[in-house]
Amino acid sequence: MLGILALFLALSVSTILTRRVVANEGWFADPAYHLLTTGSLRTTILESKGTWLAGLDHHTYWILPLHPLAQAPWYKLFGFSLWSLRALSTVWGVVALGAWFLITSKLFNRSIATVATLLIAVDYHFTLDAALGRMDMMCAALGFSGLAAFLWLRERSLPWSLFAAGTLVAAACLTHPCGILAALALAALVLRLDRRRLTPRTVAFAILPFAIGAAAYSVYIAQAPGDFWRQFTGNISGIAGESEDLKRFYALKAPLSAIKDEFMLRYVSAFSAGGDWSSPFQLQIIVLIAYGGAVVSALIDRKLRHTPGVGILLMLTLLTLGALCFLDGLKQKPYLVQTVPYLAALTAVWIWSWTEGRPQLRPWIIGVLVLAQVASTAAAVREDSYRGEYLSAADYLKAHAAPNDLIIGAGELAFTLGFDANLTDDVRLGYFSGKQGRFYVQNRWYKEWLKTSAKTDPAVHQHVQGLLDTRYREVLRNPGYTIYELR
Amino acid sequence: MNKIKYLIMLASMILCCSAYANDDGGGPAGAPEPATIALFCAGLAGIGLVAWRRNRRK
Repeated sequence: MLGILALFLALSVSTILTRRVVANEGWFADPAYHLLTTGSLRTTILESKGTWLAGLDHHTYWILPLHPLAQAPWYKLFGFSLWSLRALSTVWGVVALGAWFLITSKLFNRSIATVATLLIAVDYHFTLDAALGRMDMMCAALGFSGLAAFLWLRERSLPWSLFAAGTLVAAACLTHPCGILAALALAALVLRLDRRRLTPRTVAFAILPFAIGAAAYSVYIAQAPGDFWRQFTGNISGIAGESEDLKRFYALKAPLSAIKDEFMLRYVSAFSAGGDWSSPFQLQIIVLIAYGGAVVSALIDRKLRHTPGVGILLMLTLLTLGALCFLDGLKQKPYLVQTVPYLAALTAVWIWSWTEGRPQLRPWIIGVLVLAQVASTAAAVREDSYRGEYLSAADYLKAHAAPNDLIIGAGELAFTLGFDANLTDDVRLGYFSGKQGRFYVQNRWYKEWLKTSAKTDPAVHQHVQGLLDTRYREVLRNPGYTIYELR
Repeated sequence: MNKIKYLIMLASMILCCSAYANDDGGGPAGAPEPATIALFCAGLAGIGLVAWRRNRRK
């Protein structure tokens, strides 16, 4: 287990140090930074005037509160920086791995649990989320810990196992809406294993933590209910939805399209290199075939399905895959951390079952999967998009902008320019605010947004494109950023 | 476990070709290309067939 942990930490830390910085990381560090420095959970780098984010400079309601609340004491201990934000996700990654070791050793045995934990620890998408300054890993780790707590404590005391699991899953739900996946999984697990032992009292033990969490959050919501409603409902399709044709809940209206998109956009596309067969990242497709093959085999192969524990794991896997498919129409890649551990664990059991009587095959099969995963992470590390893209753009701005110059650009730049600096993340380039920066920095997302806005918001598109054509000139371009300066 | 260690070491040696990292912070990846879809479907179909034959043997 120590070897697996060391491998996971090596992959995560090397990703932390080399991965490009994304706007999400700036947006989600901002409220924690202000909580630490001013005592108020507000977000100042995002321009909110005229949009559903209005009120953000006083209250941060568009995201759930637990991730910034966890960041603040973390920064107090380890200092505020991009690295410390990302390292927090790595710590949650270790918690998630521990939870999966407990889940799989309870459902199966120590050997299968070790292989399952190894396959999760090296998974490219799991490692990415463990090195990304978003809340996804924290949410997943809390949810998986809830399932582990229930499985390990239920025989000793059902009420207290439900209370412990309920507390962890409620915390997941207050970290990110994907916590609902853990809540569904916990409900399914309880009904499958202990429905006959349930009484109103035991159910109350499970519900109590949710009630306490909701009550505490309500106190914060009560400070500005109108802002809460606008920001929270605005974020249903969210900022991501503004640059995509997809909407969060479109699956409820078009389930077949949602299933097709889930396969193609969330999985096949994310586990391949966009058709570049010379890239090590294309090896990811082997991993996806193994993950999919494990599900197919568990459904078809009666012996595998009837292996103790497999029925429960298969149920949880299908439930989580289905729920994510229908609840997230945006097909966001960071949410893979919610499903990949189930798939990897099922793959471990499948490998074990199909190599029964031929144990000498196991290291080779596991080795191929580990190789494919490590190769993908190593390729991303070698690309070093942090230095090649982010740092070169941020350093240019640091060198050329005077202290009073307004810079309009994506939130990730705040890690270099400062969260109290003259940086505004305004993809609309002052359409509502009237602000015009000396510099306008386009990242990938700004470019996508501008392209999509030609259809979705032509007036804003015309405003931004017109200004770029007539008032600005390009001064730097790299694969991730284009910097414009006022003429 | 030694074989796994060997394969991990091998991984670092084969990384001499071009790199493509699918690691944006959010949003879906673009649509996959047909050869990848075909390989994925063929892989699943193959595994499904083996599972079905194992099931019949029992």
